[in-house]
Amino acid sequence: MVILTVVILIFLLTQLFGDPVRIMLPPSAPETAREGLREFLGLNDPFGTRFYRFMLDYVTLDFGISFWQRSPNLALITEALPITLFLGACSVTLAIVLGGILGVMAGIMPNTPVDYVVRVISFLSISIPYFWVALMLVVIFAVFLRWLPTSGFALDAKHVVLPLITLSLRAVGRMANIMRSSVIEIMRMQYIVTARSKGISEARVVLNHVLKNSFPTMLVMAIYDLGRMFAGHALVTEVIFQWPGLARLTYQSLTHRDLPLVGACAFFLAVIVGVLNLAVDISIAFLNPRIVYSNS
Amino acid sequence: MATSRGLLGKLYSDKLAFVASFILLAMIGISMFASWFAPYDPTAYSVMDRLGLPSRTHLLGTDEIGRDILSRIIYGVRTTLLVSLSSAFLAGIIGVPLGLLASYKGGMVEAVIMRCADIQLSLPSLVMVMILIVVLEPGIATIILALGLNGWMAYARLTYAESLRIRDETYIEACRSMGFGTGRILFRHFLPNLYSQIVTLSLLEVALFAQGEAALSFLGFGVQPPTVSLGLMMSAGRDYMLISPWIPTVPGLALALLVLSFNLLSIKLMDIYEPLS
Repeated sequence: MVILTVVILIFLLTQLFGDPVRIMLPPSAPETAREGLREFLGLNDPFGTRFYRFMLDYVTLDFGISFWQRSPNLALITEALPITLFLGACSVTLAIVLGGILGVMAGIMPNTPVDYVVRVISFLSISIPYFWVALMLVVIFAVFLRWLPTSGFALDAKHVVLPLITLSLRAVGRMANIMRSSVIEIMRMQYIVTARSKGISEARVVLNHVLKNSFPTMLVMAIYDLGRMFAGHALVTEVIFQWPGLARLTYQSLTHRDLPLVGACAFFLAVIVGVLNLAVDISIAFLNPRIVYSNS
Repeated sequence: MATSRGLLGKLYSDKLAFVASFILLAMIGISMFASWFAPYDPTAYSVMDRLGLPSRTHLLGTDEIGRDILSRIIYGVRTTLLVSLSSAFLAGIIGVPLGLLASYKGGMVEAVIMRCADIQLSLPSLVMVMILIVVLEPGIATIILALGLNGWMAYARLTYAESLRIRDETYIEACRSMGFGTGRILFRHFLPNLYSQIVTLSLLEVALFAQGEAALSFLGFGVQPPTVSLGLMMSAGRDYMLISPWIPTVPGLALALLVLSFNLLSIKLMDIYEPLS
């Protein structure tokens, strides 16, 4: 359903709005070039034909050829996709681990300085514009300290660190919050009191009962955050650090006004985000049978 | 719901909230009268003075073609505030009525509106906004439109959820039996109960839109030169990061301050209206 809407939207935006040819060619292009492009893109055909052809292309995974790169769009995308997925997966993992640790620390010692510090950190991490933080980190670590490169893609620690931190920043804060609330809530429950009165050490109480119950919620929210990362944060991150991932491809295609590629990229991104959101919805319903999931 | 005096009193007794509101009001005030506060014309450049360090003549230094950074920041904050407030307003104008309608009418209307919101929420927002901007040619009006169209869902969902509770109250039924039209019921009886929530949400949304505007301008899809924007300053300054790192730093600091204040204020308001931990 969502994907259908996305495809329709992409069609509308890239084919109908304004004049795609005007957007794609420089202003100095002669009229013959414009006409030629129109014919090639099939813009002169009636609406119905264009729509039908568009849908058919997408269904058969024929996304056309990029005008800017002069190579098939699908190939470009499949090259770039794993990179973005890698970055996203690492970010989510980092967010869960780091956020989880911070959240647990804050949760088991509520209203102490530790708790306060964690709350401040998570508030800051959610509120501050992440791309500014990215620039600051680059200034500090690459310009002043010269420990890390300013940008560039390579699969070694030096190049991965900063993009990773940038992308996972907001998620870490959110995970910490969730973990913290979850821990506090569970610590208050009856079965914890029972466990303690049975003489189980505090550490085991935390590990076994608290974590096992908080983890699913956190995982679900982490996946939701992953979806949001793909939706927006990944783009800016990849552009700042020049990582050749799907998000940066989208950005470049937009800058070059390469509408076929734009459409293809948007489609893929929307599919990814849609799948992730669906996974979140299903998990929520699955994890909490008390909530009746009503589908409107 | 607290009375106005009670609200302001509580707000200002909390130090953080007070600081945040003060910062915001100061920023808004300075932006409105930017030409009086800015020491220089933000677009006046002088290649002789480029990349100057903060000094007595240029309090925050000069950028890569010699424009005064302080003035540019003032005007940049003005742009950001303009865009984010307008977008939030637009999103609210679209979202609130839709939410009210969905909860009151129920049935098909409710299903359609909520489904639309769900679908749009699943779309990759930044990308969609950028596509819209590319297609409609970048500019302030386009950004406001794009951001606003992208943000109505939060308002709609909020009003919808809250209205569901009001819907079954007896006084609404009384209104209906007196023959009031839907519009009147919705706006004069539903809406006043939601003001506080809408305001709290708006603060968050404005913060989000401010970041969105900065990000878009940073990427080149936002306001275009010669209009000043914090995002543009950061992106231009990136090229000079190695020699003068304060050029991208300072605008970002201003932006961070702005966003933080909005978020902080919003959280404090939430605490006041719904005091539960």
